[in-house]
Amino acid sequence: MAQVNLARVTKSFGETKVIHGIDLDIKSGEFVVFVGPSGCGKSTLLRMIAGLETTTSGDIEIGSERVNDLPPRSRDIAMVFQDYALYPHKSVYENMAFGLRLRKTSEEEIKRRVGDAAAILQIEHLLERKPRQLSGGQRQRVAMGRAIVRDPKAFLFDEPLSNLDAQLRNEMRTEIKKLHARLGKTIIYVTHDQVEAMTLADRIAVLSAGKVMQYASPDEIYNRPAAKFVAGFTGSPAMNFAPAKVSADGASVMVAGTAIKLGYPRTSAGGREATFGIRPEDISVGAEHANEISARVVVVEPLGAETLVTIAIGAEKPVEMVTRLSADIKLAMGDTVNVSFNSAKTHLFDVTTDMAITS
Amino acid sequence: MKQSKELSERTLGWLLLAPVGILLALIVLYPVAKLLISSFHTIRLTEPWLGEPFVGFANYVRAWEDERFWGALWNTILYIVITVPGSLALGLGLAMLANLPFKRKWPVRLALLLPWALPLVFAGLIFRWFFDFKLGFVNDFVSRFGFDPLPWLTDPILAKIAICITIIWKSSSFMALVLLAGLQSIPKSLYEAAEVDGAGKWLQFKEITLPMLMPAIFVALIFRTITAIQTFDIPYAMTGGGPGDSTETLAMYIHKNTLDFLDFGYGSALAAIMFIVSIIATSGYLRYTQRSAGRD
Repeated sequence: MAQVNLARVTKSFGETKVIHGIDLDIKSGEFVVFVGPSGCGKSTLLRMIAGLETTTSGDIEIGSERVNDLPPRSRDIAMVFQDYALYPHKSVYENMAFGLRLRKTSEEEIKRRVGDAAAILQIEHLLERKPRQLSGGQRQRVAMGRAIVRDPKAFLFDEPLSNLDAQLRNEMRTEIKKLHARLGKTIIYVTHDQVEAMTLADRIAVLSAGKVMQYASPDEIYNRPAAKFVAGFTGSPAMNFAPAKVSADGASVMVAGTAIKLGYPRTSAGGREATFGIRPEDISVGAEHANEISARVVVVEPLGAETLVTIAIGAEKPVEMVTRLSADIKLAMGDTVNVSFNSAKTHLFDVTTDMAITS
Repeated sequence: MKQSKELSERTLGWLLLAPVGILLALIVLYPVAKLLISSFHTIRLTEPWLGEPFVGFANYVRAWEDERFWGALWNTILYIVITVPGSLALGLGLAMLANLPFKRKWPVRLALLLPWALPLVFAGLIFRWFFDFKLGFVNDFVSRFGFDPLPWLTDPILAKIAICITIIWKSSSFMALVLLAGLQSIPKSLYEAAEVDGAGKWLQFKEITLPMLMPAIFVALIFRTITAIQTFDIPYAMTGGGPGDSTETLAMYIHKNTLDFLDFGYGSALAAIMFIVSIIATSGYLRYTQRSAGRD
């Protein structure tokens, strides 16, 4: 078990810089998720930690040892690959034993460790099979088993669930969370799926274009996004954004001709243009709140447990926003309703930098 | 009613298969059958008054007692035993070289393809000049290190060595092409997983490349073995089977009997023997593919 530290880490492929000076500290035993859209550099960063990609500049430390110049095998990490990368010609047992054999572990110890890992992952009955005889979920378990038996300093997961169907993905996500609770090991996990990031992580690093946009707990990321990108990337449906004009005292904003009160004043942005943001669940319909606003129902999408309702506010240049409502509230397209915004949960972003305005 | 319908479906099936059946019979069965029939007759175009009498196994018995046949057979086996593993080793090396992440892949692929694209006789002629006693590049090279020039093509042992080198050079590019296709089908992540697991380059080769490449190696070996059994052009162009008949192969001896001596009966018997040797070699391949098909 070990902490992992990245300091001013960069990566260039020829002229193209893909990682721009990243600083991250990952505590021992922490579950950290790198999340971001395709091409943001999250997998490259993970592969740099693994040693599968060279580091152009900066320092990578695993357990306070600088590992920049060490090959992957000397870094004492285990990795689970997106395509599982199981050795097709070896049995499940041999797949899991391979790394131990290379480390000259005794046959008895190998048998014990593979047995333990197989028991944890419930794959004891599959040990004699070849990977091609396994289902996607079983292969995934074997790939994790191969990582577990090694008892490394840190586990690296590279989009391990993206090849599974939706139901299996949910099951395996739970398994991984349980596994972390049980083993207590440092895990660095890469995904493009914000739900995986939110559910699994102790801390999330949201990446965009080779930079860390925010590195914080899921709660912080969701409720206090540091940038518009982070706010838009987390949550489903995504946060509603609208162009706004901040009042002179910074206490409220005008959106589509409607005044909306902010949770606390943003005096630094007083009188300026800004981007207003609010999550779908923070808009309520028909309730008795301070800032009730008239809105028109544009689309109603019932999901069973809840209903997504798209509303339009403002008469001249209406702004559409999605709200998440209880399924009990029955609305029809074209209805006019009173909506209110939860002031405490309103967000404001700078129009040029896209960073959150917090003062 | 039902029975007649089934019968007509059966007939239709046979009818649909018939064109392929006829085609196969024409291009495969007929020549092989004709060869086997000829091998049981005396057919000498130099003595047409003999007719084409049936002689049973006489041609095969003649082969059994023919020292030159055994010499040619042993030479053929020697070429198989030396050049098949030789071209596999060289081909594997070339394939791995071509599989390296070059910035421009086409010059490497072209270099790989050229020996393969070159007609066999040309390769034989080129290497005959290379190994020429007076003018050859090999003797020039040897003499630069202070050694005496060697009679490459006129000494029975040296001639065999020169022929083997030429065959290996010529055939390794085919091996390399087949193996390169195999190499490229191995996912990169397997090497990365092995790297993380702790395997160095040699272990990665032993534990991943070789086992994953086995099917391709097997196919390449079989194709190469069959062409090695039929070795003709290169020794023909380099030594013509000489000195004496010390480098003559079975295919050359068959050619000599049928086209030089016009003894079609005996030539057919020798060709039938070569055919049987090829069948034995191919059956190993068939057994392997059946086994792997059953396993999946």
